[in-house]
Parts: sequence; structure tokens; C-alpha cells
Amino acid sequence: MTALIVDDVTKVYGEGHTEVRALCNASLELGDNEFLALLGPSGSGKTTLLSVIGGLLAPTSGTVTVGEIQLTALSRKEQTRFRANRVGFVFQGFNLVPFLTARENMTVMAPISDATRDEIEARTDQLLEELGLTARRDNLPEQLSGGERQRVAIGRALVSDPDLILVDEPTASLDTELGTQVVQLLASEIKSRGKAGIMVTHDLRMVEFTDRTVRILDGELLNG
Amino acid sequence: MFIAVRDIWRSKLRFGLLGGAVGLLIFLLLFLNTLSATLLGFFIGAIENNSADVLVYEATSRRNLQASRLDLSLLDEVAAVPGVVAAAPIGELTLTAAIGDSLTDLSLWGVDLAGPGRPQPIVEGRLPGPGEVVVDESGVSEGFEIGSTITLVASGQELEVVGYVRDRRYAVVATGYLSFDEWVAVFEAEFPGTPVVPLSLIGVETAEGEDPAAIGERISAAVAGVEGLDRKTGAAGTPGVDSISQSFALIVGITFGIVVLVVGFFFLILTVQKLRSFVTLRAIGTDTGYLARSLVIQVVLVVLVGSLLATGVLWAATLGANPAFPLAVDRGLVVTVTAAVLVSSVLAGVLSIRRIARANPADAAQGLH
Ligand SMILES: Nc1ncnc2c1ncn2[C@@H]1O[C@H](COP(=O)(O)OP(=O)(O)OP(=O)(O)O)[C@@H](O)[C@H]1O
Ligand SMILES: [Mg+2]
Repeated sequence: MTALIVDDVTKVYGEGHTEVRALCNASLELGDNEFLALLGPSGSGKTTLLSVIGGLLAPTSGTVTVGEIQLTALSRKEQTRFRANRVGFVFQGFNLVPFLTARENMTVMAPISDATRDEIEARTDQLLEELGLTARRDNLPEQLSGGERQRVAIGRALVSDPDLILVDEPTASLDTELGTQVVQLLASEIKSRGKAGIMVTHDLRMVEFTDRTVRILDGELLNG
Repeated sequence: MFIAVRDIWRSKLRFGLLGGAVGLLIFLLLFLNTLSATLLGFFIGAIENNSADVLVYEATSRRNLQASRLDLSLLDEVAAVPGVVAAAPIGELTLTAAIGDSLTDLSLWGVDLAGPGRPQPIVEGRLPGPGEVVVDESGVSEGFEIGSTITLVASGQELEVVGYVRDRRYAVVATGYLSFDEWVAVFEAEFPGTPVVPLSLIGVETAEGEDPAAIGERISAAVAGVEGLDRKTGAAGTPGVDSISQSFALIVGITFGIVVLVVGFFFLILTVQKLRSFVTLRAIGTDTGYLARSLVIQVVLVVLVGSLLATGVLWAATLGANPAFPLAVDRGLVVTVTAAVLVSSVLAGVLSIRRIARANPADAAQGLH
């Protein structure tokens, strides 16, 4: 089974002389339970690709299919529901809500997810345990270290039990040791739950935790 | 609910300050309303709460009873108008009175103690006999207490206070009520040699079930040179009432506008400050409606807390109230003002909701800039 099909996607930002071609005819397939590393220099279109896959950004042309859902066919409302239930996004800048505790940053999914509050709460507590955050669950983001924040963001992406996890540069603001730990944890969470995942990185050492590597350069995917 | 309450809980100081500011402004609204009602009551209470159903003015007096002079002979003409049960003379004279060591103004009303215009109800004491007077209870602050003796300065006549009526001041001056004959004697002593003592008004009692305003019109039509008005119209038509009401309406309106602007701008500032969180929440699948509801909940909580606070302050202020400055927590007023502030503040919150709706969830992915 394929978890994701990106078919001939092009994304152009702006128009006229400010036009930026961030993705050019990108095509990609991802199997169930496959964890892929997306490698590329700054500005190559990595975040743009994840945003298109995650239903945040409409492609200029081409189609994206996650599971059996074709994203380009979704209404705005359906897109919102898709984001709440079918993908987990770990953003480049963590993006935790500053006035919510570590635990609340994860249970915030309860009112918007299709899962019940009880399910979300149970999964939250389990994830906090697995991510080593139980002792920090009632701390606000400002009271957490960079690694802890990153782990909370990972927890939030997993808590609604999506089939596809998108992770943008999880190690960018962490030192090597901490970065390795976080990626290891992320890989084991994805693998143990049988999910598909894409991790953007430009750190080659992180590649060993993934199944496959795809490179991107100036918006073009170089498979293999 | 969840996000709204957590947000307030984690920014107690900010929301507390806003709640406090809204509370003070709502208190100001309540206070201004009470003040305007009190002031108007002091100005026209004697007309608005008169025991006569219809008051007959001299037509050219422009509803100013101090300019209204009627001849006693008109009494029978008015009494003869269909629908009129009884007609009685009302005389008003403002003069200087000495009470204790101090001099003060007193608006003295001569009325038929058993007819329309009589001082009724007597809230304490009894109706006046010869040489006696009942006063409006707010006059206590000027020294007009039951048992005290008023000396009319020009004539040297003395009157003893034997009872109180309520909400019957006139022209912001303390009022006293005594029988019409006594009043005529006072008038003649004040103006020795006056050829005729004029009436100020004629008080009319209308038949059961008749509309006083209609009877008033009937009197105006039937009797030459007079204008009959129900007491509400007479009170509202008193020169000066309009400008007092309008001034207060303006101040209340401005204050109201300030409350709404404060709430609206505060939430807009907070929204802009928290835009990154809102963008993130939308990116992870929160719909705008949920965020809008949570903002509305916050607005409602802030206004309700403010209103509670205002009511508390007003209640504390009533402890210092007295008949000279009556102050009370009027539940209807509190509810009306709160509801009005609530509705307008929620509408002002739409500014913030629009800002949230306009934000692009895709921005969440673009990381730290
Ligand atoms: N909203 C936007 N409007 C216009 N251009 C944009 C926008 N977002 C990104 N771009 C441009 O698109 C290109 C790809 O951006 P993208 O963010 O996908 O790169 P990236 O590979 O994630 O880079 P980084 O490693 O620095 O995060 C860049 O040239 C960028 O300047
Ligand atoms: Mg990026």
C-alpha cells in the first residue's frame, strides 16, 4: 500500500518578476510504514513540499494523494479536518502554543480531532511517557529546553494518530547529541506505530535512522 | 472553552487589568445613569410624581410652571370639562427660608390637601394643619427635618415641619407642601398689597379609565388660554429638562463608546500578539470558528467580571447614599448596561476574529524568521 503519492507537483510563489518556482514537477511515492529523509540545501523547497503534502499549501499544478484522499479535491473545511486527523506536522520552529503546558499543547487536539477526548488524553499520557516528558508535563514551553520543546512538538504531531508524519528540520536548533536522540525517538515512534513519515534535514548523520533518502535541489526531486 | 480559559489563566494580570478597566467604565455608566435620574428627579419630581393626573398651565407659559399664572375663576371651567372628576388649585412660590442659623431656598406649594395635587403619599409623619408644612425628604440635608421650624425670611412667618413626601423636589430646590389657604396667606405676607393671588397650575383628577393626555387636550380645547398636560408630558416639557437629558445622554454615549473601543482594541492587540499561536492552531487543524468562539468566550468573561466589579463598587457607594443623594443598585439598569456592553464588545471582537481568519495557516510551516 502507498501512504502518499505526489504526482508532478509544481509550486510557484508570487507572479511576474517576483515569481519563485519552489517546486518543479516533483513526484514521489511513500509506502506504509516507510520513513523517508528529505535532504537538500536551504531554499531548495523542502518546507514547500511538506506544506503541500500536509494540506497547508495548494500546489500550482499536480496532485497529492494521502491514503485514499486527494488533497486538491478537498474544500477548505475538509482540508482543516484533514490536517487535524490525517497528518501530523512537526514545524521547523516547533510552534508550541506559549500559554499552554506541555501536556495541554498535545491535548489541544482533543476538540478538533475525530478521536474522543478520552482517547486523546490516554494517548497524550502515553506519549509523554515515551518521550520522557512526564515530569515536565505541566511546564509551559518557556520553561522547557529546546530538546524538550521539540519532543512536545513530536508528541502533538502523533497524538491524533495520523497515518503520515511530516517533520521539518527537527535537529536544526539542537546540538548533535540531542539531535540524534530526538531523531532516534522520532524514528522509533513512527516505526512502532507503523506510520509513514518524511523528515526534512540537511544533516547527513540523521539519514541512518530512515529507510530511504530523497534529495531536493532547486525544487527538483532527485530520487535514489 | 479550553484555550480561552487557559489563555486567561496564564495572563491573569493582563485580563485582570482589562476586567478592572471595563469594570470602572461600567460603574461610570451605571453611576451616570443614576446621577442623571437623580438630578432630573430633583428638577421635576414634583411634577412627574404629582398626585394630579393632568396639570393645567397657562398656555403662554411654555410649560414652565413658575411662569404660569392662572385666575382662580378658571377652576370651575376646568372642572366642567367632561372626564374631569375634580379640579384643585396649585400655587408655587420659591422664597428664602431660614432654618436653624442658615438661609436656603424653599419651593412652597399650596394645594388642596384632599384634592388632586395633594402631597401623597406621606412617607413619614402626617398631613399639615394650620402653621404646618410637609417637606420632601431630600430636604433633610438642608435642615428640613420633622419637628424643625422654618422661618420665611421676608414675612417672618413660621411653619413647623410635620411630615415627609418622597421624590417631590422641584427645580433642584427643597419643597414644602401646605394647604392652599395657608399658602395664599404666605403669598400675601410676602407681597403685601397684592391685588390678586394667582394660581400656578390647576390639578385635575380624571375619571377612571380615561387617558390623561386626551383629557388634557380636551381641557386645552375647551378652556381659553390654558394648556392641559398629563404629568409625564408636563415634566418632560419643563424648560431645561431636554438639555439636561441630552447632556447626560451624550456623556453616557461617549463612555459607552470608550468601553467598547477599549475592549475591541485590547483584544485586537492580544490577537496580533498571539497571531503565531493562532496560525499554528489553524495549521494543525483548528477551524476558525473554534478560535472565534474562544475569543467570544473571553470577551464575555471579561465583560461579566467587569460588570460584577462595577456592581460591587456601586453597592459599596450606596452605603454612603442619603436622601439628598439617593443611590441604589438598580438590577434592571445593571442588566441593561451589561447586556449593551456585552453585545457591542462581542461585535468589536469581530475585528480580532477577522484578523485570525485572514491569517494564512501555511505560515506556520515557514519556521523561525
Ligand atoms: N510565501 C512565500 N512567498 C514567496 N516565496 C517563498 C515563500 N515561501 C518560500 N518561498 C521561496 O521558495 C523557495 C523554497 O522555500 P522553502 O521554504 O521551501 O525552502 P527550504 O528548503 O525549506 O529552506 P530552509 O532549509 O531554509 O528551510 C525559497 O526560495 C523561498 O524563498
Ligand atoms: Mg524550510
